[in-house]
Amino acid sequence: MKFPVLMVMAALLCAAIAAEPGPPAGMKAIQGGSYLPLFLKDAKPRPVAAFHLDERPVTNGEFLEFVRTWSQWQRSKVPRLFADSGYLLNWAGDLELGPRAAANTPVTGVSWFAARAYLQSHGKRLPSVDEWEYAGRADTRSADASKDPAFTKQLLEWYSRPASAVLPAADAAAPDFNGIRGLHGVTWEWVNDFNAAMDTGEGRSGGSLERDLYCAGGAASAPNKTDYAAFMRYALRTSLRASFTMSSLSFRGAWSAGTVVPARVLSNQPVPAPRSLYHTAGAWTNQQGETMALRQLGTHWQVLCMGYTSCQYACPRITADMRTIERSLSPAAAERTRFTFVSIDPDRDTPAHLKSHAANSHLEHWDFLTGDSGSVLELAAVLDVKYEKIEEDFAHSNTIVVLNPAGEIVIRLEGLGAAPAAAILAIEQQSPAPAKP
Amino acid sequence: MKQEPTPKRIPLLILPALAFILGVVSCDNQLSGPLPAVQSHDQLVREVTDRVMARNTQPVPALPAAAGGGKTPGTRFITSAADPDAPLQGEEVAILTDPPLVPPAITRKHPSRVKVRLEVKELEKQMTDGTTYTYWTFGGTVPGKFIRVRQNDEVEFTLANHPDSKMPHNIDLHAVTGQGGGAAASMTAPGHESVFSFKALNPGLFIYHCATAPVGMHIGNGMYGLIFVEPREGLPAVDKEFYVCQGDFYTKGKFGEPGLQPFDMEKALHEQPDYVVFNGSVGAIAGDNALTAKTGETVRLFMGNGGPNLSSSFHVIGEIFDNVYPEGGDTVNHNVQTTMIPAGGSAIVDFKLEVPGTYILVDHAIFRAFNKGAIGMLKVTGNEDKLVYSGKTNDLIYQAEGSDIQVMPLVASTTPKAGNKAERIAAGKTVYARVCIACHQAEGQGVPMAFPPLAASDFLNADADRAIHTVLNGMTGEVTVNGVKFNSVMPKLDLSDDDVSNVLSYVYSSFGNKGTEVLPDQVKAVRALPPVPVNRDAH
Repeated sequence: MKFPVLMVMAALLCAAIAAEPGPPAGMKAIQGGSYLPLFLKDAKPRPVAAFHLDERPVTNGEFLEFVRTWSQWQRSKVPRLFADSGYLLNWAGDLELGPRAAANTPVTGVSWFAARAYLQSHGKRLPSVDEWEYAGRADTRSADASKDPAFTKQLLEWYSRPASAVLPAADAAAPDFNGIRGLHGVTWEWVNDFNAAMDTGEGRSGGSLERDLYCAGGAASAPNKTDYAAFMRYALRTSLRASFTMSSLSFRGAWSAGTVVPARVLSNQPVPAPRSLYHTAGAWTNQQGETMALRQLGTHWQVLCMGYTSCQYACPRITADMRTIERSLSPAAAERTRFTFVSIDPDRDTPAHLKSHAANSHLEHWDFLTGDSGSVLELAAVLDVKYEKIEEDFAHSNTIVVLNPAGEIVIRLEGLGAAPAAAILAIEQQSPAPAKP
Repeated sequence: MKQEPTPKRIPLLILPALAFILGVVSCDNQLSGPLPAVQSHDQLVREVTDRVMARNTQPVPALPAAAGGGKTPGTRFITSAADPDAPLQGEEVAILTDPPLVPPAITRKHPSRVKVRLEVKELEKQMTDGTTYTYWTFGGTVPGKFIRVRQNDEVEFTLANHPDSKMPHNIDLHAVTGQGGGAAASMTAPGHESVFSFKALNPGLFIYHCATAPVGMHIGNGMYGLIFVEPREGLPAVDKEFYVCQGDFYTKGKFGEPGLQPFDMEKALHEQPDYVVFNGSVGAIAGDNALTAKTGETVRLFMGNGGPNLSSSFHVIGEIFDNVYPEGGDTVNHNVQTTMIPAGGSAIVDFKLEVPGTYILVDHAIFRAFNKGAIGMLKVTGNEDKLVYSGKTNDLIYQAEGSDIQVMPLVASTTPKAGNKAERIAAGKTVYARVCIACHQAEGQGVPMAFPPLAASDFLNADADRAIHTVLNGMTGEVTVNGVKFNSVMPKLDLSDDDVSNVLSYVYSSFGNKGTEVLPDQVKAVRALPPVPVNRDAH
C-alpha cells in the first residue's frame, strides 16, 4: 500500500531554498556561551552555540508579502489544523492590513505553524527556547543582566500589564547589548520547541509533570525560584498549542550556519477535513527503508503513538496498550486499522534499528517511522505531544491517538495504561471525529 | 475528607471494561449480572462493549455515599450514605454575581448539570484614591464572581481568557476533587478557553484561585474568589447574604503612593504587604459602598481569604457572630467574636442585627485595619433598642483613687526664675499651655457643664489665695462661677511655687481678669497652710 506514486507528492510539498553562505540581512550575531535554564535542578549550564537573531520581530508588512506568495497561509484559506480562528484577525482581510495592523508593527495572531512556514521561506528558523532565553538575558549594557534585580523588576512590570491594543513599530525599542530590539516589553514570541517545556505551568506539580505522564521528566524543577519573568514565559509556552494565535504573540527568525531547513509548505492538493493530520508535510521512512507521507495511510484507521525504541520505561507500556487495542478488535475492524509508532529519536532510531526492534517485538506488521527533526517536531505539534531530550533519554507525553481515514483525531488516550475501551469502540463503530478536538 | 479522585465521566464508565480486557477478575458491581462464560477475547470485549453502550444510554445514578463521612453530632450538612441524594436531573446555567452580592440560595431537591463560565480579564482599577493597580481577575472583579452550586451537581466549567490578556491563566477550585483542582485541565492561553467538568462531592464554602506559575503573583494580583457548594438541605434562611474576600497586595510604592503601582516581588516574598483589603481595594465595602441592612434582619457573610500570604483574624466591631461555620466546613460554632480565616480558606458567619449603627469589618490584626485598608462597613438602619445598647448615658470623670483629689505629677519646670511681672506672665503662659489648657481652654473659657471658665472669672478675681490653694490642693464638688454651677473635679497640681506664681500671674493678666501678680512667696505661704476646704462661693 505504499505506492511510490504518492512519494511524488512528498516531493511536491518541498521547495528547497538554497543554503546561503551567510546570514540573511537584518540579523545580529549572538556569541555562543552557556546559560542556566529555569528548570532542570542541578543541571550544568546549558551550552548555546553562536547564532544569528533577527534584529526585530517580523512585521505585518513582511507577513503580507509572504501570504501573497503562499496563498495557503491567507486568513480564509489556512487549515484549522494549523491556525485557530484568531489567525491574523486584526487584519482587514486576506491581503489587506487595515487600521489595526500597521505595516511596520510586529505581526501578531500568527500560529507556530505559520511563523515556521514564513521563516522557512526566508531561509531562517524559529529560535530554540535555549537561544531565546540566552539572548533574552541582555539589557542595554550587558549580555547577561539576569542577576540584576532592576532588570527583572522592569520585565515583571511589563508582563503585569495587559496587552495594549496598538503595538509600537517593530524597531521602536532601543537595541540591547546584542543589538536586538524588543525581545521584551512589546509582545511574547514563538520559539521552535515551545512544546518541549516540561513544566505544566500550572504550578501544581513542583515544576514537573508526574513520572506517570512523562518518563525521565521527574527531575525538572527550577533552580531560581525568583525568576518570575522566566516562569511567566514558560507558563505561557505551556499554555500554547501550535495552532494557537494571540494578539500579543509575534515571532522573529534565527539562523545558524548549516541548520537551514528547506521550506516545506502546504500542498495545494485539497485535504477534505480542515483538522486532518494529513495536512502536515513531514517526510517519513519506515523500517523497510520506504519513504512515505502520513497521508499514504489515508485509507485506513490508524492507532498512532510517538516514542523512542531505547525507552525502558514508558514506551514499552504505550506499545503494550496499543497491542491490547489490536488484540481486542474484531477481524473486520482489525482489517481496516494500522498501527504506527513514530520515533522522536531520529539519531538512534534509524530504519535498520527500527527493523530489528520490530522483529524483536514481533510487530513487523506495524509501521515504525523515523524522520528528520523538523518532521518530528511538526507531528508532535499537531498531536500536542511534548518531548524533550534529557541526556540519553527523552521526557515525553504518553499519548495514543486514533485517526479516522480522513486523518482526523477521533480518540486520544493520555497516560500509561489508559483505558483502551474508548479507542476500541471508536474503531469498531467508526465513530465520527469530535467537532472540536 | 476528600475521597479518591473521581475520574471524568467517560473513564468512569469504561474502567470496568478495562478490568475485563486485562483479564482482571472484577468484583465491580456497576455492571449487573454475572460474567458469561466466553470463548474468545474478542467476544469478551464485545460483551463489555455492549454493556458499556447500554449503560451509556441509561440515566446515571447518583454516586452513593460519595460525599464521605456519616452524620455526626454537631455537624450541619447531611452527607450520610444512609440518606442517598436524589438522581441528577436537568441542566442549568449558574447565576454568577460580583462582590459583595451572592446568588440566590439553591432550593432544588436534586442535583443538576450546571454550566459555569468565567472570563479572566486583566484590568487597571483603583486600589485607593489616586492609586491604581493592574488586577488580574476572574470576571472583572476582585474577588472573582461568586459561584453557587448544589452538592452533587455536575459542573461543566468553562474558563475563558480574554484576548487582551498578557498571561495564560487557569483555575484551581478547592471544591474540586481531582488533580490540581482543575488547574492543569484549565490552563488557558490569552484568547482561548478551556472546558472541564467535576462533581461537587463535598458541600461547603471553597476558595478558587489561579494556579499558573508564578502562583503567588497570580493570586497576589487578585485571582481568587469563592464557590459555595450548597449542602443538600441548604443553609438556614437569612435576610441578607454578602460576599467578602480579604486579600493582601504588594506594591512598589508604599500605601497611598499615587499612580499605577506595579507588583513588588520582594515585598511579596517577605510577606510585607502595603495593602490588606476587603474586596480588592481600600473602601470597596466602606462609605458609600458599605453593606447595608436593617435592624431585625439576619445577615450572613460568605467570607473568603485569598491571601496570598496573610491569615485573617476576622471580626465585626460591635457584633457577635451567632453562628460560624469555621473554615467554611460543616461544623457550627456559636457566639464567636473573631474567627480565623486562613489564606486559601473561608468562613461562613451569620448574626442578627438588634440595633442600628455602623458595624466595622476588620482584620483584628489591627495595624492592617488602621494602616493598610482592612476596613469594611455594615450600615444598619432601624429603631434603637436602648435595652440592648443605650449609647452614652453619662459622661463622668473617672476617679481611679476614689473621690479624693488626684495629684497630677508634672515634669519639673526648666523655666528660669522670673525677675519681674512680664517675665512671670511669659513663663506662666507656657505652664498654662502645658497644664491648664486641656480643661480651661485656650481663651480661658472653660467647657460648659464641665470645667468652669477662668476668663473674667468672679471666683478667680475674688480671692488670689483661694486660687493658689485650688491649684496646690485641687478642688472637688459644686462651685459657682459667674453665676453658673459646676460640679467637677480639679486635680491637685504638682507645681513648684515659681510655676504656680507664674501661671496664676498669667491667668490674672489674661482673659479679661484684673491683673493681679502672684509672687512665689505668696504661694509658699499658702502651701504652708493646712489643705482645708475652701469657700466655694464667688464672693
